[in-house]
Amino acid sequence: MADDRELSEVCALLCKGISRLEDLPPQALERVGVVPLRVTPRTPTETAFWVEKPLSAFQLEADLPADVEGIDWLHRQAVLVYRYRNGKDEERLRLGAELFHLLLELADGYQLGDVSTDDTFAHLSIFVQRLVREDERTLLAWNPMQDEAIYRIRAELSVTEIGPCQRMLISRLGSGAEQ
Amino acid sequence: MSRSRESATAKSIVDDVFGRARSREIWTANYDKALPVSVQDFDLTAVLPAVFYMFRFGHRRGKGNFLQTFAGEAATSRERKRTATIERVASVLAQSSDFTGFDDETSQAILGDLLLCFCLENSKRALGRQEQVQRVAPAHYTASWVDLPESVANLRFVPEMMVAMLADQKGEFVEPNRNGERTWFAVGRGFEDNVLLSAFHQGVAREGPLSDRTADRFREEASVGLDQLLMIRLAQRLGAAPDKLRGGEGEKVSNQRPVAEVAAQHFSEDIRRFVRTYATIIPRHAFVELLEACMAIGLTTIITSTIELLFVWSETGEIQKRNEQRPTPLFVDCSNGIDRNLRAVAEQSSDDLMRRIEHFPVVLMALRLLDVSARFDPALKKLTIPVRPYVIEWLNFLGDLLFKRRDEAELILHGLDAKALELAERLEEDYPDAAGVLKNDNAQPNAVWRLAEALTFLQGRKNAQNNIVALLDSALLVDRPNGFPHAEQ
Repeated sequence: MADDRELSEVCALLCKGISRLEDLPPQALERVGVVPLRVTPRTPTETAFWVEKPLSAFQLEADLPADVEGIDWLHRQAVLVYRYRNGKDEERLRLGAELFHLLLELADGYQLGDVSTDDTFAHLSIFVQRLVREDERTLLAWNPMQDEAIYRIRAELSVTEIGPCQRMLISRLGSGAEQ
Repeated sequence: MSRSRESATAKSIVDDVFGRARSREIWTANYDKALPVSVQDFDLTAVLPAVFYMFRFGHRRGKGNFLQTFAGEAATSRERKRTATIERVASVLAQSSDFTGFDDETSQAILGDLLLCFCLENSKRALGRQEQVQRVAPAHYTASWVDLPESVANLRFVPEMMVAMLADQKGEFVEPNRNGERTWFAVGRGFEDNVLLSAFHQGVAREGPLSDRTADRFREEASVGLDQLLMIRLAQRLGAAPDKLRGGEGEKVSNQRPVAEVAAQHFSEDIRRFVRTYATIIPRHAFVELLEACMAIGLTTIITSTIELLFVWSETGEIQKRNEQRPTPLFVDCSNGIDRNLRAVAEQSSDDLMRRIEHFPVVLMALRLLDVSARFDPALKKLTIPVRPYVIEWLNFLGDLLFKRRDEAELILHGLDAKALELAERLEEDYPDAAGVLKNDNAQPNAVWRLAEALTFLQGRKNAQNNIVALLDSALLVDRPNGFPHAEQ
């Protein structure tokens, strides 16, 4: 069995594969310590939108069968676990051999050219969208008009003289990871 | 002579023979008593906001403030609509105090793309921010405040049929429910009494009478996602929900259900269970896409069940009983055509459906001919056979006329025989093929079928078939990410 460090390395590669599954600008992929997850638009847009998850919130577990005396089993699938920011809840994605290896290949720079892989990614898509929902009040954006810049869009609640008020704000991010 | 010119001439002959009033009812592709939608393409992804509106207010949506708020100045109404683009909507919203930092070109482009991402859609699904905006997405209940498409009739009466099926009332029209009435999909009541509205109204509460178009208010302290907040701000900019529909078509929501009673009931149950089970579990974007897919499956089954039922009716004159009702069997190959045997069976199954579709316009035409003849007959007019919510009894009555199981049938069929002869004579010169069909009582002794064949031919049979295929394609969400892929040629 792999040790914790090896598991973390594979986990990081799998997360990189998930990020590369969708078309994200290089600026999104270069940020350190975070996993960018693309928001899928209803209509394709010039601007790319995504959310960022801390890499440290992901964990890889082997799905081991119950111990049976005298019989050694190898695990048949792995589980990618994401721990939500509240520290209590988690999201689990079962990775069969096919998805596992496809994600590693994507992390390695391979590109998909086969529509028959759609079924393989069905659960992954829901997993990603659930993670995206956690950040439904914050998004990151990149637009080719300012291709060096990344923007953050967020909803902010403030209390004014007339009562609470929600505003939608956009600001330009500096370089480096934002947690 | 062009085909459209020929059709116009054929139409004028039919007008002369049947009279304008009857001809108007016959010369169409629809028979809304059996299938209460327009038989042509529609956009399933645009119907939910109209459904929200009808559930909330209990009538059909009319004119709202979208163009008034977001369109620019232009000489004509058409040009004005073209000025209502994503770019312009974003620029108007950016000026509001609810938006901070959207001051330069790039940030407004991002705001525009956010609108395209979650809230609005361009005409013909075009990309870019300078196209005319045509549809609103169901990101939140407040999408129902946006009067897109401009005319609710452009949604081909699909929202009306959905509301009728889900509300499941007994009368001629869908009416607001009384206070305390037990139903999953209350009409004209609070959000909490309607399963669908309660899944989409986050942060919005009513502060005023039910009929007040400005009574729905956003509670600023409510935590909603950016997509929902954007839709709420867009709606707030409009100031009020649209007015009820005024003029010719009427504000009332018809309670006409499809003749496929079992499929309609399954549709209603599926939507109810799906929304109740998954609205709070599945993330909003995925939920809307899956809900649309759920609607797609239900509507496709309704259409194919209706086709099947009316084919049986054409052979027996009767609508099958509930326990006998089935959709058209359709074998779909999910192997991407890799397995030759599966592919062959799927193609055969598809061919069977296409053969039914080829003949379906003729069956609908026969129904319209019998319907008009029976309703305009002084004796039969006195019979009060209900057609809403379900038309089954009326279709069985028309079937009795078709198969001469009633005394009055003789007179009706004789009248249609006379019309067939008159029409054949008038068509002889310019449309000999249609005239031949009308006169050939050896091949088809029943005048209803001769007329139905000839009139469908005159309308353009290929066109009628294409409309049915377009209807099915729309119901199946063909080429949408959450729908059926387009079949390879």
